[in-house]
Amino acid sequence: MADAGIMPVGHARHDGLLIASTVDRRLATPSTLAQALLTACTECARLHDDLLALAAALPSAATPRRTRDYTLSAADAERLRPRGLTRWLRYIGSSRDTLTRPLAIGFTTLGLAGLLVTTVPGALPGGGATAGAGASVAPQIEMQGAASPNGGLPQAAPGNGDAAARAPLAEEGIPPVVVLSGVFLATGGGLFAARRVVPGRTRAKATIR
Amino acid sequence: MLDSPRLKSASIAVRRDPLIVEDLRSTTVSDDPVQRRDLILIERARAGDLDAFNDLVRLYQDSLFALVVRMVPDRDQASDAVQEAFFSAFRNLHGFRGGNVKSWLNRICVNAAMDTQRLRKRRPSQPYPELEDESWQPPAGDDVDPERIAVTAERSRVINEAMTRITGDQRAAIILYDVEGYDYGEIADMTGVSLGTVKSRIHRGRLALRGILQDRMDLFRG
Repeated sequence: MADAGIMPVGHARHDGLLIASTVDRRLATPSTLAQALLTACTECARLHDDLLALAAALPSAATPRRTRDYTLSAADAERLRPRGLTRWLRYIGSSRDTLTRPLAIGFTTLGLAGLLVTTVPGALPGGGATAGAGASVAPQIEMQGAASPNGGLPQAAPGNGDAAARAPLAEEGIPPVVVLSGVFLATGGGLFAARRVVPGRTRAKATIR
Repeated sequence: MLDSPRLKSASIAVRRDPLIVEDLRSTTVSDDPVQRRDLILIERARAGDLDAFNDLVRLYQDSLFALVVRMVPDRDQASDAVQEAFFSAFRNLHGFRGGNVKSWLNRICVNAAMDTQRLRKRRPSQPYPELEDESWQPPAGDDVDPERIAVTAERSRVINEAMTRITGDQRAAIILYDVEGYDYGEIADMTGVSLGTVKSRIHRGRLALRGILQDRMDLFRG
């Protein structure tokens, strides 16, 4: 036998898990080593037969009788019916929910588009190009050793005309478009997340056995 | 460029895919009268018809209790788990996304049973206090030979007792595989562990069962 060389001597050293894995109704053919063990070792063969017998006996083993009726009373139903926010949360992601997905996509798209627009220099009148301008000005600021104390927003550097012209932008704070884009993005993301993690939602497989 | 044959064939392929999926789905559902009945009941229950939901409960409560009581050896706790599972199913009727209703209910029951097992680990109770109880269901079959009935009953008693002595995870995996007929992937999905873990639990559980029953294997052989 080709596998006799790799087979350990003595049943105690044989792989019981390997034998157990051969008791699989869906396994077409056991591995070569398992086959060698089953052929050469009577204890392994016996173990295999025992495991098969147990697997066959299990489905027909008696179970206790049900002692209770599980039908729901009208009061149970009333208590269990979701209300208010819970009802809305359960609606999200359910098969009847045709609203939240397009809403989530819409909000996310608007948010991304808003952020994109604000990063393009000169795309918005006034303070629209903050991010892009900030990014291009920042290296100059750093080179002059004028690092911003409040989160890296560019400060006006003396003698730098371009940066000085943009100083009012920094003082204005975050432009409303950016804030709005952030809100849209957060809402869209939140709706997507809610669709995935609605509490108690149970996914059923479409397989019929 | 837009008229190139490659682009045309690609667009046709994209249009055809969803059609194939839809055809499969409708065939699967309409070909199975049980499935169709269950889906009708689910739809009515979703619309607020409590009787329709209770019809589903009556249809499946025996099999679901049998499943859970094998996983949770304490009958009262198993009963509570099944009740909780039906409550959960009612609360989540709108979360049912089509497919096999029995599988959906099984899944909810398995989750409830696993929650109960986790609770039992923290507050252990006496396992199977009623093994000698006459309320145990007789095994399937019309066997009338008293000796065979006695052997079958003893076999059930012995194997059920052995099942309580393996770990809850191994027990759940073995029941779902050997009794309920789920495959490894479905069990992994249900129990939230990897495929390898499911296999390991089943194989180790079987070995543990055989170890426990080593002296009583004559009951099961031949």
